[in-house]
Amino acid sequence: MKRLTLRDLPSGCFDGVIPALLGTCSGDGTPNATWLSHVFLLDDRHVALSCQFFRKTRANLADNPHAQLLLVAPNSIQQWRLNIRFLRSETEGRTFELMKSRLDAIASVTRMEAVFALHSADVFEVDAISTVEVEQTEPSVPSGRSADRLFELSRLTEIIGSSADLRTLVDSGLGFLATQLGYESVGVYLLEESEQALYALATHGFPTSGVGARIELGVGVIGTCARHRIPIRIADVNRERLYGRAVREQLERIQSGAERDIPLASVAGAKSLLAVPLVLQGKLFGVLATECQRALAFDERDAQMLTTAGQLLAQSIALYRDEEPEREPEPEPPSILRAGSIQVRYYEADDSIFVDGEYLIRGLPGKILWLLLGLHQREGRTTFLNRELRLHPFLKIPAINDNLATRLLMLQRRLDDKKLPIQLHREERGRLRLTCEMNITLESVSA
Amino acid sequence: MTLSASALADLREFLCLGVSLMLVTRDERLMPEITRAAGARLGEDGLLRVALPLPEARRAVWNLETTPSVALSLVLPTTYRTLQVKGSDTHVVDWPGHEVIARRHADAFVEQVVAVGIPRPIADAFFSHGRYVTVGFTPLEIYDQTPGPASGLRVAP
Repeated sequence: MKRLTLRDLPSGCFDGVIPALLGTCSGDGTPNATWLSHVFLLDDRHVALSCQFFRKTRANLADNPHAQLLLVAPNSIQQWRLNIRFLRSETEGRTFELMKSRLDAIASVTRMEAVFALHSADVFEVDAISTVEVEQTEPSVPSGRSADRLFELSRLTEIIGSSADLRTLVDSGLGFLATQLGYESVGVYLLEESEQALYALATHGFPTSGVGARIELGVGVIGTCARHRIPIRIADVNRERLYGRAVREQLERIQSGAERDIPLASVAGAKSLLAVPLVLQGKLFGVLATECQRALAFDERDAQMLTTAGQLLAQSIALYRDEEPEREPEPEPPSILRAGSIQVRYYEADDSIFVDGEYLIRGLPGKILWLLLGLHQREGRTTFLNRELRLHPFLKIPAINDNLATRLLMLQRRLDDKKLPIQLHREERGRLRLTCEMNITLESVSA
Repeated sequence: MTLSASALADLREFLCLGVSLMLVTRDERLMPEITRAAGARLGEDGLLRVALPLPEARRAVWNLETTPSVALSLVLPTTYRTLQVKGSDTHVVDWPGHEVIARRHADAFVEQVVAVGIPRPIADAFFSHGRYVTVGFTPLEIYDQTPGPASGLRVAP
């Protein structure tokens, strides 16, 4: 019979969906049981356990390093006993930092940072693995997603390659992830380096788009994924008692904290959550995240799949440039103004825009809108070249890592979402058209 | 030290809620062995009876022939409340009607794990149903192991 190694066990065993049990024995022969929230796979022969709440366990291991671990695969309930031997406790180094990052991610969702504080990473060598023989084991639940994922990825590259503009690229990319790969609710969030925060660029399959929503680095699953640049997978929110409460708390904080925020798109009753970092040239570019109402919806293969698909999207978004327009602008259609007027207020402090007292957007998209509205009002202009925006001293867009196209898309989307009488259209490559269906009064509030 | 009537009553009630039951035994070389139990009840005679499913509990039963010390961990999946009971006189016992108790326990346990997201078609696959070895021990100590900074404190006798 083949000798089992840790690599033979499904990745779900290490997700913490079904807690593992650690059995130890004191020097005087008294057994002890301890539940573990997470078991970390280090390599073929080693696991690390997070020393969080153990008291008796630590004392037992000091007496007797031999222990047994029971792991369960959540998709099949297949179980394994691992005879393990305690080697050492680590309080720094790669293993410790990796474990700390993962626990931080969970803690950020549960708001239990103090409780989840990692004291040490306890490293064990695996001496033997045996399958628990259970009669009546049922077959595993199929994931429901396509098996031929390489083929699907090649189709995604085709779709991205054939997209004529950024909006189509992002929409068709996320749409493909939803319809062909089964990630029904998915969103892409881009880093705004100057603010150390992420903004939602586009989403698919959520009740509200949430475009423009801001997420601080380190906050929630998406912010934590970005801060640590590691995939964060919550396999069963109910089981961990994590997500519903976290979302509620986050929403409450957003609603009570300030009016300068847009609620993050979320699926009601989501149980599974997966966020992967998008890293380009060694720098964080953004996060791709998906959620699902079904528990155990994502496994390690999904993390790999979403990472690969996300990298394809991120590279295409980052490389996208709206080039020079190829023709002269169309004659401007006569503007038909509706009755009444709207007030647009711009706050210099954070470049936020409020329309009739209601928050719209902030940061670079807010600044762009303020510039366009000013030019429109002062000079009667309705069309603008991307090139002139890129060079305009008011916007201070960096020559390197130009993020104009994504911020314009975010602004367009946000204006669409709010159904305002101000709309921004991409008229053609490199040229925008601003339409205002009502009289606008502009007011700037100094910092 | 004898456990108080209230601590035992709490344990008796907790055992009936569909808790996940894990028995840790050990061999003569102090190597622990973890086994899921298929049901447990605390009798009025003070004996905690445990149904161990076969084939997966074979080694635990073997261990108990020579080393009667055990730790029984009970966790309620929907709340994470966790108790651990220690005993040192475990032995094979007669337990008339244990199959009924085991079935009742399995049904309650399935409801618990389904409530936390385990698909119902596989929720019955945690342990075998059919053949059991029944053992019993006297609870000596109870520890509250509900996750948190206070985990591991002994329940007042």
